[in-house]
Amino acid sequence: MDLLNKLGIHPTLLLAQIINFLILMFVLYKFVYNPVLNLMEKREKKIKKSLDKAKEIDEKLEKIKIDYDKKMTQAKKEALKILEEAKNQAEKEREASLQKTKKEVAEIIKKAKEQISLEKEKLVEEAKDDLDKIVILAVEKILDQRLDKEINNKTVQEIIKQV
Amino acid sequence: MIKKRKKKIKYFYMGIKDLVISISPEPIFHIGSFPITNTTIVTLIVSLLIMIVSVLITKNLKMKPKGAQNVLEYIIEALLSMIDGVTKNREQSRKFFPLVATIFIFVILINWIEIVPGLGTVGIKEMHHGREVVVPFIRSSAADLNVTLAIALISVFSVQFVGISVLGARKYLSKFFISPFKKPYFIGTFVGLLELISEFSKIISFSFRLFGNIFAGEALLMVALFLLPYIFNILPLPFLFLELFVGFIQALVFSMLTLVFLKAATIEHEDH
Repeated sequence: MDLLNKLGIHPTLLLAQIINFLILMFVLYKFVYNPVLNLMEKREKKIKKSLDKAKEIDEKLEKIKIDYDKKMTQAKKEALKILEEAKNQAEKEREASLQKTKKEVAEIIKKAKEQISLEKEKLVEEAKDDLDKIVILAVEKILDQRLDKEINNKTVQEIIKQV
Repeated sequence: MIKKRKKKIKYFYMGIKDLVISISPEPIFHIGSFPITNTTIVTLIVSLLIMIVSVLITKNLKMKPKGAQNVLEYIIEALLSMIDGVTKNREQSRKFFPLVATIFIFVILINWIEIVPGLGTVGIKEMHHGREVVVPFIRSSAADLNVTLAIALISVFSVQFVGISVLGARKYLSKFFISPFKKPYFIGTFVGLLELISEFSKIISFSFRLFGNIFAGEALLMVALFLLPYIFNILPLPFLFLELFVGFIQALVFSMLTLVFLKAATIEHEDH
């Protein structure tokens, strides 16, 4: 006991220090260690979860990108095909219309030619008729005689035929 | 009038001959028969400071830490990873954490009190063996055997408690009481007995290691201060750094040893 006294160990002080430390430990446990450790654990879990999620999203994105590229190339191919087809079609149509026009033009030319020849014939006929009359008149005048009309006509006709 | 007053004031210069280093903490005043020593006051102030600061920081914890919460989390994370390194088991670490962390934080702060300015010099005058000496207000709590013994007792009792609750009373006690009729015969019994004694000696080694280091540090600082006080004021500086280092190491040793003993108590004794 004397030794303890010399070292300054006092039972009440020792007890007070023990209680002090226990209170400190309890308060820190209740208000610091537990909440902070729980928070840190929660955060750790959350970070892990978000990292996993990010990885998943990355994978999905990659997949989508590949898919997109595939579809894009396919669409391009299809578009080219359609374009080609359209070109061919247009070419064909153009050809067809050209042919048609040519035909039409030929027909019109033909019709015009026919018309012209018809007109010409008519003109010739008319000219013949006129010529007939003129010739008759001329002949009458030249002969200056009045023949029987019938005979007259007959002779003229014969003459014309001869002509 | 003025002359009279001047005479009344007693100037008290401290010199090396006034330096008193006592092993026991000095009581400042008494409440009944209960002595309030300077270390009691320092311990109370430190404990209250720890509690108030930490509760203020943790009052609104946020998922996205900011400012002081970062510092606190850094300290706690460092302690936790240190404990994890010994236990290799997160669940067990969480169980040991309160004791080990509190010991570390409390001990490091009461150690560092010794480098606070005014240590050993600011205090009340008292007659001591016919000499006028200063009883300082600030004395590192770890330089009081009551404090170190208190922590050592808590540490060692916790070790026993953890051992019994994890292994069960029979298995735990079989570490110390080994039948002399088993394989290593009397050697085993003797080793068990030594183990038992070492459990008690842990209390003494814990308390005196910390007390000795910090008490010596305090005495060293005071002597360094008194040796060449005015011109070579720079002299105590390296000692202050040394004491910072010693305070940290002692806190680490105390908490690590507690941790190792806790872990050892949970491990079953191997049958030979």
